[in-house]
Amino acid sequence: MEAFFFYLFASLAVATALAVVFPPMRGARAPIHSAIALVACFFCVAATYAMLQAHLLAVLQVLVYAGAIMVLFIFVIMLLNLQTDETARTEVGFVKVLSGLLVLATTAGVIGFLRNDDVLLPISKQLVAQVAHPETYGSIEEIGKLMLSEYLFAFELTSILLLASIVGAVVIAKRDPRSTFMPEALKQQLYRERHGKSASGRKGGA
Amino acid sequence: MTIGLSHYLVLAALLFGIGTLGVLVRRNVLVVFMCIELMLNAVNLTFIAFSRYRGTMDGHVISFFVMAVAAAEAAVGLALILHLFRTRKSLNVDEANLMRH
Repeated sequence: MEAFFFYLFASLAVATALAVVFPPMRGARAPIHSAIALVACFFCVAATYAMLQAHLLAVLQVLVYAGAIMVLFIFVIMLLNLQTDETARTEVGFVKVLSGLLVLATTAGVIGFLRNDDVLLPISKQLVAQVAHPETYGSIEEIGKLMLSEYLFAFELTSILLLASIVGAVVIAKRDPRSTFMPEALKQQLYRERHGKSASGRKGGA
Repeated sequence: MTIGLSHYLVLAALLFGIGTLGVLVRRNVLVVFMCIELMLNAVNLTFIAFSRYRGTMDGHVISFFVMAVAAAEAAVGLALILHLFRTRKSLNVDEANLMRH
C-alpha cells in the first residue's frame, strides 16, 4: 500500500516537475502553465512528506509554497502581462545541450550510487523503526520544542531575515525605473538594444 | 516491497536534477526562479527523509528554516524581476548581461 502511494506521488511529482521545465504548450501563457505544474508538484511533494510522518511540514508545504509563494508568482506573471513568447527566441545551443547532458549524467550517477546496495546497505532496506515516541513524531509540539531550544538563534535570525526581505521587496518593487539612477553603461546598452543593433548587441558575451 | 530511504533520496535527486536542468536550459527568468524553488524542495525532501531515518526531528526544523528562506527569497526575487521587466521590457536572462562586460 505504501509502495503504491509512493510510486503514485513520486511519478506525479517527476512528471509535473518536467512540465515546469518543458511546458506542454509554447506561447505567451507558458509561464502560467509552468507555475500551475509547479503547484501540482508541490502538492505531490507534500504527500511524500506526509508519508514520512512529517505532518506539520506537509501542511506548511501546501500553505507556504503552494499557497503563498506560488500565488505571488502567478500574481507577478499576471501583472507583467506578457505579450511575447520569451522561450520562442531561444535556440538550442551547444552550451545548452552540454549542460543538459551534464545534469542528466550527474543525476544518473547519483541515482546509481543510491541504488547500489553496497553503499547504502544498512540504510537502504527500510526507513527505520527506532523512533522513540512514534505517537508524537512530527507533531507541532515536538518541532516547537526543538525550534525554541536548540535552534533558538536560527529562529530569531529568521525573523530578521523576513523583516529585511519585506523592506527590500517593497523598496525594490516600488521604485520607478525612470526616476532612479541608471549607470551610463546600462543606458548605452538599452539604447543599443532599442535602436536596431539588438541582434548583435544581445549576443554580447564572448 | 518496502519503501526505503533510498527511494526518497532517488526522488529528491530526480527533482533536483530537473530543477538544475531548468535553470540551465530555460531563459525565462520567471521559470528559472521556479526551478530554484523546485531545487529547494528537493533538498527539503532529503532533509525530511534522513530525519525520518534517524528518528530525530532536526531535519524538520531545518526544512522549516529552508521554507522561510525560500519565502524571503521569492519576495525579493520577484520584486527584482518586476524591476528588471520595467527597465528592459524583457524577461530573457541572457539580455541582462551588463555586469559581464
